[in-house]
Amino acid sequence: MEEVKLFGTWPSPYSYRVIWALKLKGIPYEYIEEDLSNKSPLLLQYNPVHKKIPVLVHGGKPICESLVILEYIEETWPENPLLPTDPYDKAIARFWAKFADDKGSIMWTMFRTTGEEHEKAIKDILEILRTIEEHALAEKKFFCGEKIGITDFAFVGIAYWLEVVEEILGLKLLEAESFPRLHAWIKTFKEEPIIRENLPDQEKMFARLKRRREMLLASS
Amino acid sequence: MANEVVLLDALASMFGMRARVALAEKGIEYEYREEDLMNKGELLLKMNPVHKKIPVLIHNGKPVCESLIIVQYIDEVWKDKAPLLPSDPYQRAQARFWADYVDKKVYDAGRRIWTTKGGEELEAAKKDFIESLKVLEGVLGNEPYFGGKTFGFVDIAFVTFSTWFLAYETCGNFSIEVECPKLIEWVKRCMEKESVSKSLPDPHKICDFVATWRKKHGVGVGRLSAYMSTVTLDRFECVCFWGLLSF
Repeated sequence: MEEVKLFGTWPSPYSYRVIWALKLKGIPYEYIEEDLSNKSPLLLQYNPVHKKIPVLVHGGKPICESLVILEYIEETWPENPLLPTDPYDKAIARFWAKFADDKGSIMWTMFRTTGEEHEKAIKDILEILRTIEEHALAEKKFFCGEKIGITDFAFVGIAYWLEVVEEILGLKLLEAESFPRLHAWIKTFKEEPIIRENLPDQEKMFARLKRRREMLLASS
Repeated sequence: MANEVVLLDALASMFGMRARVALAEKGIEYEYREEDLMNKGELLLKMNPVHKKIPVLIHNGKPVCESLIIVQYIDEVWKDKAPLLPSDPYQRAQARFWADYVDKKVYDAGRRIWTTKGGEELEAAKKDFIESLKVLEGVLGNEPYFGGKTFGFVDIAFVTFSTWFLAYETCGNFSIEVECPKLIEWVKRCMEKESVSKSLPDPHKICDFVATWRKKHGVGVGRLSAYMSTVTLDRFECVCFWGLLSF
């Protein structure tokens, strides 16, 4: 099998999506940690358009953008599928993965801001959680049924990272009473072995993000 | 079971056009329904409760939303004719990457060009827009299509923006042909395909709509006045267009 490399950053949820996919499919890979304040020449060579992580390099050929990478992994190594086979179910899975991608940045807006912008971001996040609770998660174990998949990976970036952000900001948005399905799903994905063994340490995340929040507040 | 296909759409939407082109490429018969985006119908709200946007493809009663997801769905269901994505996973990844690039870079800069009053904001939007087009022109290279020898996914994702080129050029006072001649050659080549020419409205109509919007919002019509209808626009067309700002 040709060599697989992953350029990522701790603790980027986008990096982790790719790690989970590779591990679930049992694909050996070399991980390269990138310092985003000092991007390596290799990263800039492999992703000249966006200059971002994650980048998957397979047999020397780069693939960029996490959802594009996930689809590539799925098509190249079809064992332990991460997407449904039925075209309609696949379209729904892709819809929600894109939703998670499009909306996920609002959490970081909430993290970075104060005042009115911050309050608006909180309202937006509650709306997003409500949409996921009512429309995305039916009475299923995971977003696409009984098995974990790409859509779950996309939402973990919101749910797991939100727990840390909530603690730093002194908020509680994802309450069990208001979002029972989401809560059940979070519990389920944390128990999934590949995820449980490959989640960034929340204490470390808390320490790093708390420092960043303090710096942001000091400079504003 | 009969294949019932309905497309909820709006004439000037470059995203809706993608679905039209894909359906035409596959020779699929469908019912086209123009949505009044200022007064969204029950069916649209029921079929896309999350975003409430067009296009929505309804196949045997089940909705598919988001234009690039719709195009992939069409390609996977009607897989026996005119493949829109390559078969090789790496080529497919490249196609998805560049279609995503069009959504991220071209749409945003283009929209800033036609909604902005002018000055620095307009110049910044033009710079970003032209830059993104030059990147895409580089990707096209010397091939006839983004799909290589055959028309494909990235061609569909991007060619629908060509109906808006005249509006961008007029608002921004620049020429895309001067900046990216190979892209304009590629547009002409795509327009020779019936699936494209029959799915895209006349660019003058887009200019007409943009002029009407700008007049209503006090942004200034300027050179666009050359494209304004001497006949009052049909109210139905007006409201469809103004509602497009929500996409």
